[in-house]
Amino acid sequence: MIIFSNFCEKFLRMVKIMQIHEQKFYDDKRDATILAINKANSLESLEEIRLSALGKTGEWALLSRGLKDVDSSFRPIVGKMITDARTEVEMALEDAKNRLENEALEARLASEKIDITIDKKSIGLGAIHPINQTTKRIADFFVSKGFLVASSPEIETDYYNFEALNTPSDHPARDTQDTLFVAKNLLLRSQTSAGQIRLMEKTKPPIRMIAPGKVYRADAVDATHSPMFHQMEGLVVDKGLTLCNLKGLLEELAKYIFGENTKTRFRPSYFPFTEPSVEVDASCFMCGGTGVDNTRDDGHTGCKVCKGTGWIEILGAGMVNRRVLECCNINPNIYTGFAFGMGIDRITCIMHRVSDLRYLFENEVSFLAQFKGGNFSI
Amino acid sequence: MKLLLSWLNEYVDTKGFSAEQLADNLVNIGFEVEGIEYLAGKIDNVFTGKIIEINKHPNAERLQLCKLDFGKDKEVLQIVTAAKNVAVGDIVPVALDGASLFDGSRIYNGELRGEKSYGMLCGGNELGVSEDWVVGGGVDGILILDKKTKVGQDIKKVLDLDEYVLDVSLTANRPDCQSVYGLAREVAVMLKREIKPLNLKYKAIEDAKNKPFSLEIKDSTLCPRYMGTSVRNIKIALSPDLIKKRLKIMGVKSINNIVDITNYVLLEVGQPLHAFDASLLEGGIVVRNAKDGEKITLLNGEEIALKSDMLVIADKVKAVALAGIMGGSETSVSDSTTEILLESANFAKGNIRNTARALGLKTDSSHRNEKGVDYFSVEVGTARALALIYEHKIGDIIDVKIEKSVEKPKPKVINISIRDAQCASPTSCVICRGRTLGVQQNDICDLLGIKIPTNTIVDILTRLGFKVQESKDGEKLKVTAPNFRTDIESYACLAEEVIRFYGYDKIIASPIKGGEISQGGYSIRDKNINALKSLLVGMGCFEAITYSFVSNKHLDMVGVGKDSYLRDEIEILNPLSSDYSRMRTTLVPSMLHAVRQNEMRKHSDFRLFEIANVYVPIEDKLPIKTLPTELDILCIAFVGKNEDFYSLKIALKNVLSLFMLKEKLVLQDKDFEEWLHPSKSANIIIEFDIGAKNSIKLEKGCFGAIHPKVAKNFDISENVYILELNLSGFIEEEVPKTIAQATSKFPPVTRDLALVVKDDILVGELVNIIKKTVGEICKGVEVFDIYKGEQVETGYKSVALSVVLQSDKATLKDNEIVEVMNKIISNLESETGAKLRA
Repeated sequence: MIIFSNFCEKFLRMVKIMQIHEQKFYDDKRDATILAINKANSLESLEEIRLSALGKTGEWALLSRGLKDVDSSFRPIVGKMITDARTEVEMALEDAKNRLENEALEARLASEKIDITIDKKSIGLGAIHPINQTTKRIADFFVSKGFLVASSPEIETDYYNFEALNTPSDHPARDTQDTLFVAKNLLLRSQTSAGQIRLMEKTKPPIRMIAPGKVYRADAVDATHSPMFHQMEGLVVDKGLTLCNLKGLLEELAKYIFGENTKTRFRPSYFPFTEPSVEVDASCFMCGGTGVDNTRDDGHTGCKVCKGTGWIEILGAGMVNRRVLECCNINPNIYTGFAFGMGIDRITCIMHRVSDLRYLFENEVSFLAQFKGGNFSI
Repeated sequence: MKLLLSWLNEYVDTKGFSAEQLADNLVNIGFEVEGIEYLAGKIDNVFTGKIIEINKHPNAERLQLCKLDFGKDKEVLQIVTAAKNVAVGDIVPVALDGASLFDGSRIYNGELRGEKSYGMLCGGNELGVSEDWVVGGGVDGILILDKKTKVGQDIKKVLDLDEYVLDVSLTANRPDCQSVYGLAREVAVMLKREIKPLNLKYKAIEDAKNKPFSLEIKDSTLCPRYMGTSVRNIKIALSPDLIKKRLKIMGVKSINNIVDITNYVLLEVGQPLHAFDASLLEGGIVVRNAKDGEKITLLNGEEIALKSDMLVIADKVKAVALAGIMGGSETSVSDSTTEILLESANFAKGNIRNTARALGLKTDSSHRNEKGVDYFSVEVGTARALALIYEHKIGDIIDVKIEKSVEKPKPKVINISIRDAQCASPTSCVICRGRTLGVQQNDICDLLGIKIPTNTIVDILTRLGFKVQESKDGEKLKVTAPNFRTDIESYACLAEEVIRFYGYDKIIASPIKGGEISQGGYSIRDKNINALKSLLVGMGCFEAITYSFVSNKHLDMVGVGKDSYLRDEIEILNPLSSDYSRMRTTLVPSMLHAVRQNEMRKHSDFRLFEIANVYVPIEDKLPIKTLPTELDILCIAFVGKNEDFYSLKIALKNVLSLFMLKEKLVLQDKDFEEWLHPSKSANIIIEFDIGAKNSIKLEKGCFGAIHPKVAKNFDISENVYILELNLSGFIEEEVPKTIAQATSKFPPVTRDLALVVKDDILVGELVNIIKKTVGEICKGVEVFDIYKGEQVETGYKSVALSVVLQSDKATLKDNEIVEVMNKIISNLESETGAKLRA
């Protein structure tokens, strides 16, 4: 038996030795292995193939080992044939491994698919109150023009709120019904104009300032009135200022607030502390000043924002009364000035189409949450 | 003020201008027109007709067939009506085919239950008239007109409805315009038309026998001018139709010819007048202050007790009128009056206002007197009333007047300098202010910033009644104000007069030129507040704005003790209501109110904040005599099941980080405000550096869970966490600049510790001991677990901490770490009894 088996082994080796001199022998082997590799559908089966092909006892290892039996003159050629085929098998293995790993990763990622429409319970973004957004928006305009942002007490003396503003106690413009008093000569300021005097007393011209803040009047609460509301006062004092300069500044302001195409107009008015005094209207940003809104579906065509007039009243202004300047020791023969005051709440309502002032003071979060957007919301 | 256009037309012809055009023009010269009322509304094609026959409707029990006569040559028409108040012979308004009623609804010929109806009989309602306007106007049914009414007349004429009334609002500086004539002056200038003079003509009877009344004015500052005129042999009757009609339109009730004339003159020329029944005056007239408690029954029937600061007109015995506001009933003109004393006077406006306010009286007289009636109007008013009495032959005017007046005010003269704008040294000249224009320049143009020709200025001012004289050298205009223009003070006022009529549209927008660039921008406080708000918004808070005044019950509702400093609230003397009666000393009640508003609307998880002032009397003294201190306060509310003390604590630390104060925070678990839960709250104490390595600890607020009692008072949930922090003291200060430290290049080491300590040992205490023990290589201590229950003895808790160690100088060696950890453990044990967990 042993003899026979030895014979067989010898015979086979002879056959192999004959084969291993031919390129086709390797090509076939290589192709068979690569086919198996490409058919592998898991990293495990691929590993099995790798071991049986390239492992220490694998086919290609045996072939390499058999090289020593090859006639030395053929050895380089045969050796190269083995190495080339083996390299191709290795490359195929690498490709297959990458393919299978990618497939596995893709399958994992697919299995991790989430529902992006779900919201996690969390504290979202808050918002600055719309009134204070408006204040900041307008204050920024003036700051960019070199204005100082001043503040002054909310509980004021009669002197600063009225007397120094050319409104003596028997002046018809002063109606005690409108002003809330806390003592004989102390009151809740009814206008931010009080801040004008305090600043002029301690600052020498040129002056450019605004004073935003809360003001108080004895107005019962309704859709357009509130006993507490917000104003912004502005004051410019310098040599040679005119009504034309006032118009120039306010026209720019109106464009800043309502858009580039906004026009302004002056109407005569009266404030004790300015002379001449004007009401300033801006052309309606909604209807472009036409007063017409054809998109209404209630049978009317009047613009709701400007009530069909084409104009929105935005503020009161005028040239500072000479007496007010004198009161603050500023020589009215050398300096002139202008002042203006606007209702921030009103402008807020107009800008955001808030129909009822009361919304602004109810502090309901679903109302406030509408004001998260924009540069001034945080 | 109501302005009846037909009355206005008596003095200035407005032909060619519609009511709307007049209104627009008035607005352009400074008189806001708040409404235009056409009394007839949309009434059209409604005529008077006489019912000549009434028959039952054959097919409808509730309807009647009326035959109506509209006069000669007009067809008799049948009209069906459901009204029951009609009878044959009645004169009624009839809306004919195509007619329009007051509200614009249309009437057409039609058929009702088989009977033709050629229109509709109208009631007062359909014509927009009430019982006040015409008798029968308020009746439920048809308006039955006076029997004398002609048929076939337009109802608008018959009912005086063909009239336009403008609602003009006057600014406080123009008391001279509080009358038809006053506005007529302005309209005349506006339309460039003539103003017709008032008829002031009358003849007086000389009566030497009669001594005039004596007149005494106690304080001429309160009554600078008083004029009384006697009218005798008066025949009291109804007023002439025109006066009645105009008073009716102006909403003034017609009483009799004398009273009506006083009211008519007030409306026409703005001078309040009063007529006393002279026979009821005992002795002469005394204008004096009332005695405290003195009583007078006014024309409205009210008896009022007077105070000594109120001015009265009295005779020798009693007060007979509340000066400038309302007459007394005792001496009022009645049907039996035959002689009157007609009063026309000038009172101090402030005094009239105070009295009217104190007594809650508002009359046409007080309204005008409060704004100020000028000195000269006293005689114009008298003359106009006498002219009407004379014209309508109501009585004999006696040629003795009683009068006392302070010195006549001097006319105001304002000089306007005119100059060639070719200034010698324009750059330094304060008069020409650098202008070198080649035209004439003057003060008015200087202020307005536009060039208006001098002759235009002269023209406008002259038409307004100013006297304008040019000085000989041509360098000045001397402008004298008409005596009714008490508001004119300086050339600025004249500039306003000129531009009102020249047109504000001529003002050219131009940028502010020159001037030094002023140092502008936000204050440090504003910048800090803005940064703080951004932080809070990022933490999900919505900014609230609540009223600065609060209810007198608010402090009770948050359980503040009677002797708390928060009770030093400044009271408003004239509050709108008790809900808005005090200036707040804390924002918390207002914030809780906002929380309630939100919870009522089913919002359950939200965060709010407010930054606002509280008002603290100086030296806690009430009532205040000087300005109080106003402090900037931050109030935060976290609401909802997901919130707790710790989430609010994070917020506090974030806020303090912004001001570099986080490390200076000390919490104290007692002495906080009463609105907080006693076991879930803390007092906020901040240690401020005050230089020279000294510091001062200040209580700056408190925070925590709301006290359940307070939650109940406000009807809010108990998941409310509230913080109040006084920002004053650091919000105004620049935040210290960071001095950067290089970060360590050596690796950090983390070591965990599991300790068992007694329940009452505070975790913060453990952390502090660790930090103190480790010193500068300690880069953090974090508590990651606290456990009570099984495996931990009752009365004890297990605390798991991790300590981060890192040196800036070298990599820490194992033995160094072990040494530090051992030291920590032994210190913890000796100071708190903590043991390592087995």
